[in-house]
Amino acid sequence: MSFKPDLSKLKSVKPSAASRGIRAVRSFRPESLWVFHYDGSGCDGCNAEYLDCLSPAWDIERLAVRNTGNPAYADVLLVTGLIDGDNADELTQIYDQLPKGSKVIAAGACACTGGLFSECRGIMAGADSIIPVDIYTAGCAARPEAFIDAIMMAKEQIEKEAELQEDADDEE
Amino acid sequence: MIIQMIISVLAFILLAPFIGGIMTGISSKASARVQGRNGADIFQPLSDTMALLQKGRNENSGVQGYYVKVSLFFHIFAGALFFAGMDMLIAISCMGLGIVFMVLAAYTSGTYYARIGADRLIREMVAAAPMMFMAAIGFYVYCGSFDVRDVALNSPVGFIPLIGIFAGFIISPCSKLRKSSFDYRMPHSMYQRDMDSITDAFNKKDAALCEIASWYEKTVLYGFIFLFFSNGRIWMIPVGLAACLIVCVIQGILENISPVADNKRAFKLSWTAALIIGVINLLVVYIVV
Repeated sequence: MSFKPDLSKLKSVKPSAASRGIRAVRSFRPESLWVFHYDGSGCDGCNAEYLDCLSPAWDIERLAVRNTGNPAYADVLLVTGLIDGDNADELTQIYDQLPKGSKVIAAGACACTGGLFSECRGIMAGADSIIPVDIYTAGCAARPEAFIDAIMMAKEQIEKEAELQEDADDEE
Repeated sequence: MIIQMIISVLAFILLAPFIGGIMTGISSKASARVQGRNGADIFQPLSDTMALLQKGRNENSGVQGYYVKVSLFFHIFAGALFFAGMDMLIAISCMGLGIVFMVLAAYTSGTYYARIGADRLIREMVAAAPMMFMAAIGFYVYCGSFDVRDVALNSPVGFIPLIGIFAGFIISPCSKLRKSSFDYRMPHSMYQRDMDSITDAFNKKDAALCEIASWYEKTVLYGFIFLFFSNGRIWMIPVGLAACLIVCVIQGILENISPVADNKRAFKLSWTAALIIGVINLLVVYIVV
């Protein structure tokens, strides 16, 4: 004889107001994206183009993006320029300090593939030969619009992952 | 009266970070408009700090975390004294002590940029101190008391008689505007943000606390500006608040029209303003009143 529990007698447990409040506070994500910019060696063109994003013409600040000098605060690591034997260790150290869930953008031909210099001695074939890269931005040099697109894409990915994480936490 | 004091102190502790953050946002917006940009939202400093607090695990901060927390405590204590209506000289001294602890925190973090930021912070404090004490003495000479309560409620509006000190008070905290990237507050302008100054090696929580401490300090400074317009009447409250807003925008603009003003020049300007405008104004008020 099989035992069947009478589920109709079970009352659904509703979360208390306090726990709902705590959950609401935890799920609140302020609109803020911190970018750490690392420029490797190279012609410095992509670096200059990224600085253009801050100028009145593009004004990336209006999109709630701010730069930081500390990788531990960063949501996005933006890599421009060539990665070679000298700066590979620096890039690895910076990557290790990023908070969990941060995204890495390789911007410009040099950071994506090594560009013109990919077969030169001591040059790595892009930043992804050292650290995992999430978003690639083409261009030599990459244009400010491309930088903004990539950063916004990283922002979307971060938000989506945070939502998925919250759903997983709720299910638990 | 004690209940009123407790309510004021609680209101300060709860609201000051929001007021300071929004004032920082307004100042940043004014800067952006001067540069021909739209700039970030005025709530962006609040969002940035909240985001920083939410950002994962914090590394062990050791003694520097202790210094940052003590600094925050003294900033809150200074504001609590001020908004409870007590002696403004003690409030100014406590604020100074808070800054000293922030400097200690920067020195213990041991990085080069933090040390530069700490040096600048000491210079800023020394530059702004005479004018702040001059403002307190001005209130004493005009109103007969150092107590904020007496100045705020039982005295006529001090703006016109103390206009020199008011002007100096605005110029002098401009030396505390901290426009360099090596500065105390995390710079909110995108043009000055490649290094995080004294928070350079702080963990996320300490950096956020440092920012919140600066907002408490800012709220007390705007409290001083409000005092110039306060006479205990309700209709002067909007005038005082409007003055605070105007000063906030003016500071944002001043920050932008003096991009090459170095620390030495700001120091000279601040002390000159304190010595010339402040002393002359004090003498006039002393003789006339």
